[in-house]
Amino acid sequence: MTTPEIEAFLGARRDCVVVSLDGLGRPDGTVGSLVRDGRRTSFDVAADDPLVALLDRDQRTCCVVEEFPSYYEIKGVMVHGIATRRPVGRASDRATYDLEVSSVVSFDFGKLLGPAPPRA
Amino acid sequence: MRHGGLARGGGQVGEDPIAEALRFVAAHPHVFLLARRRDGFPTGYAMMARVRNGCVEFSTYRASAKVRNVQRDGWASVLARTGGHEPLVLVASGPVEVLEDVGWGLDPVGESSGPAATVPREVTETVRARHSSGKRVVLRLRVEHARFTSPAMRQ
Repeated sequence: MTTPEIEAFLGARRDCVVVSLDGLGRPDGTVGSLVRDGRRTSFDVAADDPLVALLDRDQRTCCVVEEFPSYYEIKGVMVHGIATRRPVGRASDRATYDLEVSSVVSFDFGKLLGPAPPRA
Repeated sequence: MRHGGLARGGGQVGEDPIAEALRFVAAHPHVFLLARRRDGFPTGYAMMARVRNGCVEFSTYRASAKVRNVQRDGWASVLARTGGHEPLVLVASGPVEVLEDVGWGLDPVGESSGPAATVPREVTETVRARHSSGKRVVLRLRVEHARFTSPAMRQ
């Protein structure tokens, strides 16, 4: 995807998969919500999710946003960066992180595979 | 966090958690393969999985970054989820091996049903041909740990 396409894609979606590393450097994950607002990126996960403790220990993170309306319309963006937890001003059931983005990778099956064949 | 038997992957209370995880992946094969990149950052790949021989398998290009990443660590995780706003989420992890001589049949999701229709037949045939030519390999993840979470479990 082009940069404008990535921005439009992320700006229109919230659901994401958040990936972190455990104490052995092994990947772990959960579901969260991503907000891309201009140049700022943040995400949140449930405050009692096991991933919160992992992110406290290792801030390296990946957020994956994807859509799969059909095989030929699969699109996705992987945002990697350093996650910093926002201070909790009041009791919240969500843990919110600002993401200092270091790399963005995208894929668009429609571009890779060409247009879908006509339906029978 | 509670983990009630029927409230997890839909299995029976007391069922082997690994078996329950495999059944969940088979029923929800549009998953995320979680790995670690060469630079140390975690990453996630949206993929279709199949369950075979008690393992979670993926088809991918031999030359892809994901193959190098899982070979480097020899370990990966898979995240599968139900749909909806408050999904049931499975994270299963274990050692991964790269298999070069394993085919990939026309049924892209192995023992599962239904989701096979999400991958067009012409794509599946191409994938099978790429396995025959050696361009594609199978990543086989043997699940050793499985964790189900959902908002309902936290209440």
